[in-house]
Amino acid sequence: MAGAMSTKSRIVETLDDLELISRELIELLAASKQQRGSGGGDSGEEQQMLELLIEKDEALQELLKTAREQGERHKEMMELQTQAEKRDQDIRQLQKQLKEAEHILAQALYQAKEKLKSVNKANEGGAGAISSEELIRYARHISASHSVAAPVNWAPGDPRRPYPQDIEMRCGILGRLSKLPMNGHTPLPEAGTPGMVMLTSQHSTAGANTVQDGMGASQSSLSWQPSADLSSGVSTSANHTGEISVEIGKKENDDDVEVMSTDSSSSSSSDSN
Amino acid sequence: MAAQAGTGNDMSFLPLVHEIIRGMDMESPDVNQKITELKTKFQKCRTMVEEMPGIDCSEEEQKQQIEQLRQQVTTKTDLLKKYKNLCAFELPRS
Repeated sequence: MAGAMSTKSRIVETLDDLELISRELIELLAASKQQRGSGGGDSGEEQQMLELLIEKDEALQELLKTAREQGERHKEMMELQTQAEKRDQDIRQLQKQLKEAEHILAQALYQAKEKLKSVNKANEGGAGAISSEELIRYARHISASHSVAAPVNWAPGDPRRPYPQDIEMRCGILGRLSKLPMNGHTPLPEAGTPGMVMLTSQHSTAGANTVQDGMGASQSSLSWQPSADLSSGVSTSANHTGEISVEIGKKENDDDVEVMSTDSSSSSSSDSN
Repeated sequence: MAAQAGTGNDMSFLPLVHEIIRGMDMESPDVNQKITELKTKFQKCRTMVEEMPGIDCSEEEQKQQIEQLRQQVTTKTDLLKKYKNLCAFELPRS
């Protein structure tokens, strides 16, 4: 009997043998009974058949017992397979999470490296290094006069603008070019008003530049709105000779920006005619 | 004879064969019925064997398979424990 045969096939084979033997035995007994009636009969063969039948029956019982044990083992195998599948699922889940973590870490690492590069690039080279104070000063300068953000109390409808408006332009030097005197005389600034620069019509355009130079690089002659700590106002005034004088001075203003020129109460400007 | 059948007494054919032989000796009218019962029992046994689970392989093969499954489950469990308890970050001492 081959060991590789499955238990099922062995049982089926044994059953077939058993059926065959029992059929032959019954036929033999029936035949021998008829022969006994006629005075003959071989009981030796019947005995052999019986012994074979008993042997096959015992083998069948053993095989059925093995089959029951295999059935129990099969249940255990099913449970083990379920556990193995659960482990597989857990491993797949863990793998997925590790992949995700790796991706996130790779991104973070890349960004950190880029930032380090920027820091190193900023630190290397003395000539290229810019001090933080200078940066802050520059930022403050360019954001003066509310040029990058509206004042805190600005609301829609507020006439203030970060650029000189029509009326301010008209009140300024350029707007009064046609009214400048033609004598070429530049009067001296009045006492008590340091920093006042008088312009004539001949030097009106140059005067504007002079005004700018006089004010320094940190101020602009066309700063229409005073800033909180550094404000410069340019107001035009016409004296009795018709000359336009440009008064430059520093004002210590609040954060609120005053409208230049158009607000006569805050400036000393006065239109000529 | 029936005692030697072991635990599978319900599937033993010897009692039925014995009854058939006795009926034949006594010329009982139930012999044919007994023979029919024997045939039916063989058929039932075949059907039952077909439905039994886990006997499609030999006993040795099944033992090998179950051993492999046990090892698989153990290995996977150990692997999961190892990676869950693994310290992913080892900070350098500097």
